[in-house]
Amino acid sequence: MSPLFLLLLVVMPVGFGLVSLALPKRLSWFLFFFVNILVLGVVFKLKSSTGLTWDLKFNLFSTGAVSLKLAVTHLGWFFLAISSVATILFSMFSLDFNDRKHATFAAPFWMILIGATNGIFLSQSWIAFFFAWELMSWTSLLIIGHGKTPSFKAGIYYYALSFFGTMAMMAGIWLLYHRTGSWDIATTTLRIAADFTTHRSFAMTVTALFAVGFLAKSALFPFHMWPQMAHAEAPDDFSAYLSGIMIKYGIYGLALFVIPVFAMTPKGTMKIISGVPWPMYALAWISAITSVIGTVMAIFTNDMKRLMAWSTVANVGYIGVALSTNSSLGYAAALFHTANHMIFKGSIFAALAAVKFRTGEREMHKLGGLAYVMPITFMTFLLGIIAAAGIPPLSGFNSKWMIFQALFEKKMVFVATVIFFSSTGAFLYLFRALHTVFLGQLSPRFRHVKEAPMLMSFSMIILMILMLIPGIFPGTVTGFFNNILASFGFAPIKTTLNSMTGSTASINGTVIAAVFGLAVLIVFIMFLLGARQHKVAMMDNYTCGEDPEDWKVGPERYHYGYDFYQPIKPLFAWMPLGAVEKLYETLRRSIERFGNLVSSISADGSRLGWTFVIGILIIIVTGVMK
Amino acid sequence: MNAHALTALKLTGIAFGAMSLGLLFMGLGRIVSARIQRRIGPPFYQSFIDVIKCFTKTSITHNFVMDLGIIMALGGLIATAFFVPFANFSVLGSSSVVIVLYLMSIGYLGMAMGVSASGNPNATIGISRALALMLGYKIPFVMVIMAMILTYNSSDLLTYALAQNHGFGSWHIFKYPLGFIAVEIAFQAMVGEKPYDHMIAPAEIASGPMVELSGKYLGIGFLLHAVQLYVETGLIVNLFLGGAQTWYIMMVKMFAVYFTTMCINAVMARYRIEQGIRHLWIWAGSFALLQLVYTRIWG
Repeated sequence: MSPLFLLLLVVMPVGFGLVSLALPKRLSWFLFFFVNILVLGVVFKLKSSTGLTWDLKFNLFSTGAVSLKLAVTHLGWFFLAISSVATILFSMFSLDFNDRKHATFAAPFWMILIGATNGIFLSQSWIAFFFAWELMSWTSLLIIGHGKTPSFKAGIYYYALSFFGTMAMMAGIWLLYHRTGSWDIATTTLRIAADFTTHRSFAMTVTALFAVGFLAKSALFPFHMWPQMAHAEAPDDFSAYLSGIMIKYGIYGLALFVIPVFAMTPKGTMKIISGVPWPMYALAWISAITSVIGTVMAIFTNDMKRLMAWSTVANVGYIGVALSTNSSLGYAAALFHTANHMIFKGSIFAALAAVKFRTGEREMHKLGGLAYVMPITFMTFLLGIIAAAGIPPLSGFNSKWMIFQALFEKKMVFVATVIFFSSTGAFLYLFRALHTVFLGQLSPRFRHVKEAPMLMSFSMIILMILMLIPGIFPGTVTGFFNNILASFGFAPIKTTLNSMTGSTASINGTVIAAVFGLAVLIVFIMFLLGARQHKVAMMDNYTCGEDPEDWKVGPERYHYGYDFYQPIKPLFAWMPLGAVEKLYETLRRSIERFGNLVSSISADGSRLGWTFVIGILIIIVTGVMK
Repeated sequence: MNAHALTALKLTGIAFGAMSLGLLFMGLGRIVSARIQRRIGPPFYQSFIDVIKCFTKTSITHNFVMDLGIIMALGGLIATAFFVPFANFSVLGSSSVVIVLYLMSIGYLGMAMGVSASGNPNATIGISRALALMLGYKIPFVMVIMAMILTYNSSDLLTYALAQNHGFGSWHIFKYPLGFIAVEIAFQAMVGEKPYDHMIAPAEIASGPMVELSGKYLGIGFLLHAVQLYVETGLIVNLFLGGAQTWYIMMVKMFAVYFTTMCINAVMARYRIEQGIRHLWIWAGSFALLQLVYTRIWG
């Protein structure tokens, strides 16, 4: 294989994106789908060419050799593969979604974003990584704020937090280069791991700076607020990509740099808590707190996209917990859950996008009963929430099981309890969304709603299959892990096509699925043997002899959906859930005040002289200092 | 292939066994309640009659989701029953407790989905209460199970059961006394008996989830409760009451667990929803937490 293919993966989508800026909207969406087919093809061609490297070295302002190195690693390829498979389904979905009425101008930027994504997963030098990262931040900002005021506000909020993280990462990269003189990711990882014995505080600072960057991108505490704004306000079809793939960049970063550093650090250099270095233990609790916040906020949210955004936050918390166990089982569990979450949250958002496409509503209590008119969308959503709740035989169960095994192995039972709380809370909000949107009474407004268009339905069907396969045959995904684990010096995990072995048990996905199938078959036969049933109208209900119509209650008001969990609200009143938001708001106000001060000096003509004087002074002072 | 068919046959036997045992318990439970209230009560086979009668009557359905949900519910719970060891025996060989905990949920989810699709708000209110209560009892229950996982480094129910086969003194009641108290409190909520019967609340929300069920749907609803009793009492016996070497001792122990529940049920009143959850968190939760801390540090 020519190494130029690596460059192609980055340059091609970006190039097409730039070209399509000049094209009509609808055409650009076709181009978008086409680009994704090409990307997927190239990615799968690269499957067996691990180690393939493309490097460009040049001298910039005589600061030393800058290298833009792209290479296929086991980890990078895995992320590339799952993201490009998910992306092609999302883009097929978008093709029908962006019809004359709904089309947004997101396609060109989305193409550039895909190039940036590929760049992130291929980069083997920090410079290239950072370029790709910045490109990704900018383009996603442009897509999220797609010309509507609330969207723009959400985009700015997202970008501000992301920017903070990026700055931290940049500082980390500079320090790293300063110390090691190398931009290479693998080399610097080894160096910094060795530095933990000699230059502990330096190594800690650098790792912490990187961690802040990655935590901010993956919305881990205390950066957990941006998804509920960004995911909710982004274009509906883009939300699937945002929640499925973009939230994982931080996870990729942690898996690429932070976790290997702690895994390679010589034993005895750091205080060990519960079998892991203390920063990892802190990460475990940060992630656990994230998942609890995500869960509780999701339970009481009424906006369906916002609800699922909080659910994403909770899931990223699980992944963070898995990574923090610093073991091969935990690392594998994190990768597995990343892949599964990509698909199931993608299908959930796709189903919601289909609902919004047909109804135009986003607040759940205004919907209801859509399962009877949109059965494919309903099934997609149903399988999505079964996977998200971690119920066998779907994919989510296997990865959640693995996360618990990793926690049991390290005896982190208290973290596991917190995670189990979130996992049980997931039933609450997922069922709430299922009921309020798809079950219950169908409003007369939506009686004539049709199933989602063909390509949308088709991509949702494939998403359903992709949720079932890793559930029944976990080996289809876990089979890739041992190479990745080996490349970071972790021991391999035991897995076959059907089964996985954890620290306290082993499970066989195929057996669980077969047994469940048998049980359903038994019940189905019993159901058929019973006396016949006949169908009645939805409003033909038991109502203690009262007729709802007498009370002016139509289907819309007869649908129990608003404030679903009101009775248990008092239980969570003590939680300081809004504390971080308040802190940020204070910060924002003081920045704004400072901004006003600056602008009042510069904008006012009479003070223009002062600005001039201060400017001159600054130049003189810096000159003298030098 | 033959071996697979044999396994399937055995599992089918377990399915019907679990349903029958559960129905028997329900009938006996009604007698227990009746005797506490100084009534005679129905015959012990009353529940069998009820279910058979339900299946022979025509019924109403509102849409396909209702059928799907109700089938998924009983199917899920029966599949769970396959993983619960009965008298030191499990057809599937392994019985990871994590599978049991999560597989049980598909039963609840199916039930919730089926009755929500009926469009009756009473049903949905009942479900929302049941799910909220789940947040209350699952956490203490899981904490106690984690204490056992810490001790045995295994999450297999069969391991726990076999470890208690060395006489009365080896029962987990004595090894995890606090955990047992926590699980007993949580169990009351798991089977939805008073003081935690918010989900059904007959005088309040017209039997909640059951409100729109008729004919065979109601029959499946009964069977659902029966299998649920089998799974949950089976779990307690395997976890705490020494498992069992023979099938009749297993049945007696399972009934003993249910008997306790029915006695408490007969003399308690219903909590309010948030009171119920708070009670579970504070009492069951703190006992479970103490047990877990004890096992983590000294176990």
